[in-house]
Amino acid sequence: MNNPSGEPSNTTPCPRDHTRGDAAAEESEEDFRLVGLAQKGDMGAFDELVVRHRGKIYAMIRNMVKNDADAWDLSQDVFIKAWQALPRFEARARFSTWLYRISHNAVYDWARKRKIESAGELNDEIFDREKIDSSAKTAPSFVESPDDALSTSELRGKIEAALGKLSADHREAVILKDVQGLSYKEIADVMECSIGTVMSRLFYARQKLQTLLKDEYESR
Amino acid sequence: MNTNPDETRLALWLDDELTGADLADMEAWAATRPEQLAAREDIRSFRKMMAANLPASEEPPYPDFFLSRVNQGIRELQHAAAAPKAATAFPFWKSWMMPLAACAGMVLAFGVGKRTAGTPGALAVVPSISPIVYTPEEGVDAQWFSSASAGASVIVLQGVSAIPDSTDFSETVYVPTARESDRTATRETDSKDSAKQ
Repeated sequence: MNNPSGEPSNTTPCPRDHTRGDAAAEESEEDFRLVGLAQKGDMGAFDELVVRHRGKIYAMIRNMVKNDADAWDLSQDVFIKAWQALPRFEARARFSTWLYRISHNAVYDWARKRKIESAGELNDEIFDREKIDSSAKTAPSFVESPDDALSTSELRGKIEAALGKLSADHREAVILKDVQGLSYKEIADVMECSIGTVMSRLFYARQKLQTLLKDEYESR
Repeated sequence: MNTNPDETRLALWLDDELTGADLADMEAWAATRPEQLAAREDIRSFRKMMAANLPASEEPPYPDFFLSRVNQGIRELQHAAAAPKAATAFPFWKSWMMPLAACAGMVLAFGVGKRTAGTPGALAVVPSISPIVYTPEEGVDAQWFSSASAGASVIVLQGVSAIPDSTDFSETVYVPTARESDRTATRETDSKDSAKQ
């Protein structure tokens, strides 16, 4: 699933997606501009790329590893690896998709190391070892009433607990699709598998989540 | 669209990924299939629930420190990458200049040693990569000093507000019990137990 270096090869052509709207297209163009500058050694441009994408990468990794401290460290590793691999980035995929792919490798490498350290099997318990931190800081994009905020927080906890019961592959597929909003093709590129495999993982992941969240899901 | 779509096309339509003519074809096909329209609504409502409760972007704690750590990691990589290059930069000189350089170094060290004999070694700012000293409180300045000869590192904080006398440090400091601090305690207890037996 991973390449040995943990760096994406970026060989799958992925034309720039203009179906996401002008804002997303502009954001992507700005990323490419900053990447060009960073490739020439402009550290300020790379810093800006980190600031633009750290929230998405941290959120994705946190949903995968369920531990704030590990997610914080792993997110930093992702950007350091991205800087190392930056000369080989050819802008055939969106920069954010490329970062998700590095994140995917970083998370699986982390899980593998945890497995070796604990001398256990590589299974989903590695991802579930730490309890969900319900008091974690969040940056909601809208202001909620106290009642709504409490309700959202409770539901979030239930969704995160349900996600924890999925296999790592199923969880990642549903996070990338339904939380991060990636297309099937982008998910296939990140997870280094076929679109058919993504479809299958997503189908079973959603089915299981709907079963686990039946009460919440039907009340809405 | 008379024939049924393949699985990939159907999945893309269910997830609202089709556009243009492909989308129009699928809409025409699905118009007479309420179960497919219901399945699409089901997926839409699931996506909406997930997106409403799990943020797609979440700023990591201490974002400025986060960026500093990334920069520090990059600097360390650059430092590590430069080291082997420097090591192989003078293979030609190695063969005949090394003994000469060693002698010159010894003479220089002897001269410097004679001049500085009797004076205490001063703390020096380490010229290579220094650790980041993060001060979350505004107005606090931190400086890091290290002396290899003294085997000591000192962090000087300026601008920290005074700690009140009422602060109870016992709540923040781990104080080992006598048993924990005395490595022989367990052994003695064990030997007493075995003597009783």
